[in-house]
Amino acid sequence: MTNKRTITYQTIIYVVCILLSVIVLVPFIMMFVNSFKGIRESALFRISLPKKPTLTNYKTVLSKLYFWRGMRNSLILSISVTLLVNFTGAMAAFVIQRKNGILCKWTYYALFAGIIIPVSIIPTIQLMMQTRIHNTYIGLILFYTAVNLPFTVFLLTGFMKTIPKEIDEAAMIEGCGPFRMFVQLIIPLLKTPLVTSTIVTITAVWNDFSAPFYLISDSKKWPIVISVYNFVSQYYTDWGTVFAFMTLVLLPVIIVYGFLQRYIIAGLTTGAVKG
Amino acid sequence: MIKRNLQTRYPNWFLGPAIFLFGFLFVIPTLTSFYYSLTDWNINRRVITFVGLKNFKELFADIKFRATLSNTLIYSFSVTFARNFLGLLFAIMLNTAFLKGRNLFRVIVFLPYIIAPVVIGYLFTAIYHPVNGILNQTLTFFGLGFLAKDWLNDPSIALFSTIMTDVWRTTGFSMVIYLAGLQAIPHEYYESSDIDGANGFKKLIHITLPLLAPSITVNVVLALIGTMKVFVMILVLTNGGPGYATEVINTYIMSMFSLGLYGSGTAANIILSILIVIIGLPVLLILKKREVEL
Amino acid sequence: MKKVFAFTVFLLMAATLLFAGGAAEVTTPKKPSSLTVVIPNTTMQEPLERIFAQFTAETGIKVEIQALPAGEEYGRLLQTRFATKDYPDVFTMDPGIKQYTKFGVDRLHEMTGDPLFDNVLDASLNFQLYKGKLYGAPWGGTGTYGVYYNKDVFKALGVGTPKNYNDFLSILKKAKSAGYIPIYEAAKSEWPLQVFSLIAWPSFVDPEIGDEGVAKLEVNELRLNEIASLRDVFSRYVALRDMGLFQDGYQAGTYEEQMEFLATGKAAVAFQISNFIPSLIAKFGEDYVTEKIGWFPLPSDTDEGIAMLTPAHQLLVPSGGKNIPYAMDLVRFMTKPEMQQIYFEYNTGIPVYKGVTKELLPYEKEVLAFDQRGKAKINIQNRLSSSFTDFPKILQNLLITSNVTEALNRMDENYRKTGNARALPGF
Repeated sequence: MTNKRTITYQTIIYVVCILLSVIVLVPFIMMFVNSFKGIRESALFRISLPKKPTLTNYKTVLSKLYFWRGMRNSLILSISVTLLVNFTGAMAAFVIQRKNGILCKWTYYALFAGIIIPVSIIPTIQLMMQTRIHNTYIGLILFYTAVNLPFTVFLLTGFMKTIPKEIDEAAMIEGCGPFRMFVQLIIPLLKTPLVTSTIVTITAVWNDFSAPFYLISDSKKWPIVISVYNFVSQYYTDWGTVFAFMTLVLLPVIIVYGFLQRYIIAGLTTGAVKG
Repeated sequence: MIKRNLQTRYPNWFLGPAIFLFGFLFVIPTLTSFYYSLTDWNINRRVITFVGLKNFKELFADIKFRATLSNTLIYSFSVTFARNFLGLLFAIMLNTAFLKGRNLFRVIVFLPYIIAPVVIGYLFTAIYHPVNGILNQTLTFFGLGFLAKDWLNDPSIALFSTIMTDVWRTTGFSMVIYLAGLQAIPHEYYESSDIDGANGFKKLIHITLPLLAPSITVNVVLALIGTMKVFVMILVLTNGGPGYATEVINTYIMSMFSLGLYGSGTAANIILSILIVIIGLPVLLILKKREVEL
Repeated sequence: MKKVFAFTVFLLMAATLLFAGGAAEVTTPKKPSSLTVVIPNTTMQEPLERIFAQFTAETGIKVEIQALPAGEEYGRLLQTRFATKDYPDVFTMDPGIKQYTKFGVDRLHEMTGDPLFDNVLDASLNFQLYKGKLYGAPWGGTGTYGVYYNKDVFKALGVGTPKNYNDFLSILKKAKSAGYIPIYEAAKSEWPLQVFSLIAWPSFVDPEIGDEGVAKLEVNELRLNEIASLRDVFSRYVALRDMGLFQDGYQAGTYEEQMEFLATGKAAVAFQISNFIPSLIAKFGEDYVTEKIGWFPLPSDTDEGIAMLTPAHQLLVPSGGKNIPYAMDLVRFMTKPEMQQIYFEYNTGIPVYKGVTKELLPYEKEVLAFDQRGKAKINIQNRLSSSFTDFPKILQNLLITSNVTEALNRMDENYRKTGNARALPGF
């Protein structure tokens, strides 16, 4: 009797899971099949195979310089921000956790507040204009670093606790300087949280809309997310092309996710739990 | 001697880059925003004058801003509630049953979370299309045509539609966190309650939820903070419309900025910060407390 | 601790020096390899590409088009680019001298006396004058906002263009009972909502306040919410909706569907701007459009009303640009009659440069006839230096709440706020 109940229960859960998966996947499937349709057919948003499959939409998108530029800019941005955040964050976390000075404490509190308080975008723009880094990659990279740093420091400080101080002492006895010790000893030990931080930072930067929207006025420097926005506001009557553009934007993301899903899910969720 | 060694081993300049970067582009703008919010700063003024609380008074007198405030709160609370309720429900279901494709399912429902919200917004403008959209098509197909609505253009349900989009996007994320929390609960707890003869519901109330408390608080508060800052999703789905039906604080700040009214825009930003801190402070304390336990 | 502060201060100083250093360079105009032209992304690009290709062939200078999001966003992006000294070489802008005050005249290259203006028609030239000086070269043609109607539908109903407002209403009601959509309103696209109030201005508001009233508005001596006829216009707008003369589900109405429905005769009329004619032509062909689509101004209570004209757009050159002489060469090149000819192969409008031969579309001839009878006024938005900011949203909300007073107050408030923000005299 119990067995029977378990089986019905399992069936119900299977059905629910399949239903949910369908709900999650439907928008993506709609996007994909319609990207091969002409202007009139794609505007119907049907989930059906195209009557006359066409690659014109993809040709249109791939011929646009700003598609390639957007992808390149997004890559440059997310990689440089991640490197900068990880390195400066690890340095700070190392000292903050090991030392109990007032400066360390206050830095930590300030960074902590940075996790919660939203960015004051208009004064940021003003400051960047005054320092002449508005509308530059450097400016955007520095801004992203400032915004993503608090979380990374928080994550790494937590992890530093699990690294025994004796390791530092042993290195010190061997006459190792602080910077060398940090680079050669500590960083390798921080590999796990650094992977997490990398995933969190790359996702945040790659998907972010508001920072470049406010901080970059030169369309040549726009990351791909803004290109999507500009492209759709230009082509919104031609859904087939819009869907082709979005498919091309999502494709690399989904492929990477497919290969690294275990790490990405773990990274983003442990990141959230800790942060 | 030992003290001196400590100093050299952990030099303060290690903090330098972090303090510089964070201080330069986060702390300075945040602090100056208090000043700017009290001025008549705008795009054409080369000289800024202090005007006291004028901007704040004007904001609260503005019906558009008042609509913005309530929309932001409704959006934030609804999304937080729905995604946690559903996330927890699915996590419990998934955890109790022995399921073959569990990981595949996890991967699928988590997928929307890694996609840029801009793209999701555009996909849903297609899904919500009143005539051709899949949502209304499906409803009509199942004989539920009376439920078919003009999801994004009917002022009474537009906000609801934007909320559902965000729930769709983030429920998988909450679910995965809960699933991890559930799997960390030792089996002995359930076994001992089996002996006591507790039923499923009792187990949920007395064992699962209390042990899941940390995941719940973190999940809820993060959701609250995140949703208060909502911007691009609304921008793409409705642009705050129809009328002011879905206008939120961040879209309001954008329109102030577009008009060049920097002082008022900054004041609105400060109100957002205050709202978030009021809600975010409890987490800070909770996390601090948990840190001691670590 | 001290060390950290010293270090931070050092970094800050180094950064400041670094950034400050970049600004000190002196610009000596030498022939650039390319020029950038910024346009809104709603502009038709083919004619520009053709014109620029010829320019490149003649001078060896490439021209890069940067299309930015249109609307308020466009002005904002350009203003930030100005603020960061990231000047395009040339950019197009909406008509009106208010664009000069928006960017600041000291930041625009003065074009007074440039030979290109010898070729501009007088009326258009006067419109570009700001305190006796010229900062923008007209670009494109004079257009018109108005009521666009489907001639087949009107024929089927057995009606002509309306003699007065009541006549207009009875035509619409007739259309409704005959199963047509009387008016298609594109509420979802937001901006088309403004057209009704703007075309109603010459027919209803101008007669009440006159040019003196407009002059008072310009210096903030008259409040928008005190103009009785404007209140009346808003009430009439809500009344149109309440009489069921908009399509069902008008909140979801889009510009594209509006074009489609008007052209195919599902809708009787649409309040639109003349820019929508080229889009229609692109979709349905010129013959079809000239045959099917007619135009008339919004009738007043007593007569057929006053036509509303929108001046040509303009080309502006930032005074901080690095290649001003070459940018001006490009402007002169673009405004040559031959190049204007290319422009008008793709766009409609009444040419503003002499020597451009263009067969006017039937509706353009009618507009011109109104103008020659003295029955035409320029769009009120182009006569004022401040703006009706957020106007589409206000109207969207008006349709939801039906609260005319609230809409008027908001319009007035935004108008004065914007004037104040632009530091205009009187605000």
